Order: sequence, then structure tokens, then C-alpha cells
Amino acid sequence: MRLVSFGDELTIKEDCHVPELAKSLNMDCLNLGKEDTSNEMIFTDITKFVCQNDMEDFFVLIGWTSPYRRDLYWKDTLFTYRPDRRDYVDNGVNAMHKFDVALFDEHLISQHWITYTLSIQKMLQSHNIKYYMYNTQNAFIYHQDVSKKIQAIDLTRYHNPLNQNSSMAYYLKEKNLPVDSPESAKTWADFLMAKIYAGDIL
Amino acid sequence: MRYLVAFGCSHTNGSMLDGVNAASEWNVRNGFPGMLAKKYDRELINISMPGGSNQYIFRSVLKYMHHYMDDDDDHMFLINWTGTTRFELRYPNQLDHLYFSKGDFKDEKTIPFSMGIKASLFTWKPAAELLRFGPYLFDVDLLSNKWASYAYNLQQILGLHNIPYLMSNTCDGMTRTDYNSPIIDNLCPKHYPHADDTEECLVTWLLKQGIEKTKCWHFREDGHKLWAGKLDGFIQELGYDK
Repeated sequence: MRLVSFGDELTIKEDCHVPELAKSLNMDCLNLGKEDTSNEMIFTDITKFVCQNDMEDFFVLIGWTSPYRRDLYWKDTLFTYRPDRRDYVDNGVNAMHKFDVALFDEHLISQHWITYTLSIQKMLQSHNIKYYMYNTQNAFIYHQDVSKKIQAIDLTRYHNPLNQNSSMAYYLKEKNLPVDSPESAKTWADFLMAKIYAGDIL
Repeated sequence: MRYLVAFGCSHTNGSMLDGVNAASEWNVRNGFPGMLAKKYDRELINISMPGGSNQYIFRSVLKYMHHYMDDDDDHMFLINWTGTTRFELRYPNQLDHLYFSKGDFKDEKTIPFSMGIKASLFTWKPAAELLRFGPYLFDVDLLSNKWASYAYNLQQILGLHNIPYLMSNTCDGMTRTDYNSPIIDNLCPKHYPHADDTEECLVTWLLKQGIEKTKCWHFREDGHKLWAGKLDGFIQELGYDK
């Protein structure tokens, strides 16, 4: 069996938790995480991968990223626009910050994120594909309009998405571990492996 | 109860159906979704929105399934995808601004944000001014990749839940890219005929049939009747008429 991983910059280093987990699970590792990505891009990347591959042999690991990222394609470059970045080469992009209140309405971005996760869960379920999800740095923003969707999410296959402290970055911070250390990689990989076995996923 | 649940943009909302109103309760109930609901003896739930984006349609289908749908009822979904260069924004909860439209299960804070929409339609300055950044925000290929993913995921989910459905296009065909071609190739063509063919979308097809459009690119009752007939052919091919 092979582990295929989708996620952000916290999931792509050669010595991060992804290859560590694959090793612990005795699987080959295919890391399709990206340095600069959004939850919507993770959603489309998984969809494309499922359409292109015989999935019988794959275990899918998904690390959802911050919802405060919007995909832009400008002058042949695909990148994410984020409220906390001010160093875009094109000044037109930097000028959009004036409208971040419109581009990143918390009520709406939380609905989008939960829609992607629920959709991917159901889609993978429809193909009998084994998977596990976690958040790399943020938690869902809870409000009435997402309550029913959250109830529909299979929490045996998604580590506590409502709790900020359950995201990988916060979990490691609580343990005083920098996210990119070998010890962190082992700690988070062991944590995920325990969840995967507890959920009887494999 | 037996329901036909329609998702889409202004065409599904029946804009200008009566030749007068961009939005009215009569238009919402009597356009092509209403005609099909009547034919199949189903009550119409119309969740469409003028200016609604494919992102809005995708989110609305999942929201309806998890917030409003009673599994004991008999549902048929009519998902009418819209133009590519659109997405959704939302007026902040703490402000009084609303975007009114007719239809069912409305979140009147949702802002339909599309290339070419009049800035005067927005009562909130940040949304109106953001339109100037259209070239950054509306990349057709990128939005088409997302649209293909929305459609594929919904097909799998509706299949998983055994919900009968038909998808069609109203404004554009899905633009093929290197990225989304494998996704489009995996769409079920019986449930989503002509996904990437603009000639077969509602607007282009009705014009080809000689139906007159309104000044704002919508259609009156004759156009809706013809489109309902075309969709009905697909519904019969799927065996949903039995």
C-alpha cells in the first residue's frame, strides 16, 4: 500500500511527519503537498488524483491548511493571496488588502472549508478509499450555518477539526517543539498513527 | 413528499420569465424548473440566486442535503451550473447590508460576485470596489478547474446517497485545461450531458433555436418551455420518468 499526502508547506519537507508516518505504516510515500496552497486547491488536487489513479492501493493523508488563503493565477504564476502577506511582487495584488474584509469573511470561509472537507470525505467514501484528515494550523470557525455539516463529518477519520489546539502546529507548540524538527516529525507521525489505528482505518 | 430541488443562477431563478421582472415569486415558481416539477408531480424547491456562482451552487447542494433535506422524502435534484467567472462573497454579519432575491432557503448576506456585474448592485463599498480587481480574481482556467471538481464531487456524493439528479449548463461550457481534463473525463455524461460544450448550454442553445433573448440575456416563457423539454429528454434517458 502507498501513502499519498496532500497539504501545505508544513507537510512537504523530506524529513517531516509524512515520510515518517509512511515508514511507520510500512508504506511507500508519495508526497503531493505544496509549498503554497489553499484548502480549495487541496480539494481540487485530491479530486484530480482520484480521477487519474487506481486508488485501491492508496491510503490518503490530508492536512488541511489555513482558510485565510485564496488562489490567484496572475502572469503565469499560481499562488495564494493571504491577508498576512504584504510582499507580493505585483502592487495590484498588494492593493487588494484594502478589501480583505470582503475576501475573507469568516462566516463564509468557514462554510467553504467545511464544504470541501465534507465533500472529500463523501467522495472518498463513495470509492471505498481509506483516508485520514487533520488540520495543519487552524480550526473550523463554528457558527449556526455550519453546525449540521459538522455533525455530518466522520470524526473517526478527521482529527478534532473544531479545536485549534488539535491542529498540528498548536499541538507541537504545546509540547515546545518547533514544527520543522525531526522530533516534531516523529511526535506528530506517532500521534497520527495512533489515531489511524484507533479508528480501525487500515 | 416528492420534491424537485433546483440549484442555479438567474436562469434557474426565472429572471425575466414574465418579460418584466428580474426577480418575482411567479418567475421563481414557473420557469423551466417549475415546468419540470409540474410534469413530474413534484413540489418545487428553488434554491437558485440571480448572479449565483458555481461555488454558491456547490455549497448550496451540500447545505440543502445536510440542513434541510428529510431523507424520508423523495427528492430529485436539478443542478444548473452557471458562468465560469463568478464566485461568492458575503456581507459581514455585523452590517445591515443584504442582497435580496426570491427563492427558498436564502442567506440574504450572500453576495453574488461576478465579472461584469454592475458595482451599483452592491450597497457595501468594499464589494463594489473589489470589482476593479476582476483581472486578478477571475482566471477562467483556475475557476474551471474548481467547477470540474465541484461537479465530480457532487456526482459521487449524490450517487452515494442514491439521489436522482441531472446537471446542465446555463451560461458557459466548462473550459478544458490540462489540469481538469482527467476530472471532466470522469464525469458521468448521462447525469451531466455536454459538460464542456458551450453550444449546448441554455443561452447558446436557445439562441440557436431562434428564441429571442431579453436585453439582459434572459428568456421568456417560450425559452423556458423549450429548455424544460430538452432537460426532460435527459431525465427520460436516465429513467427518472418511470
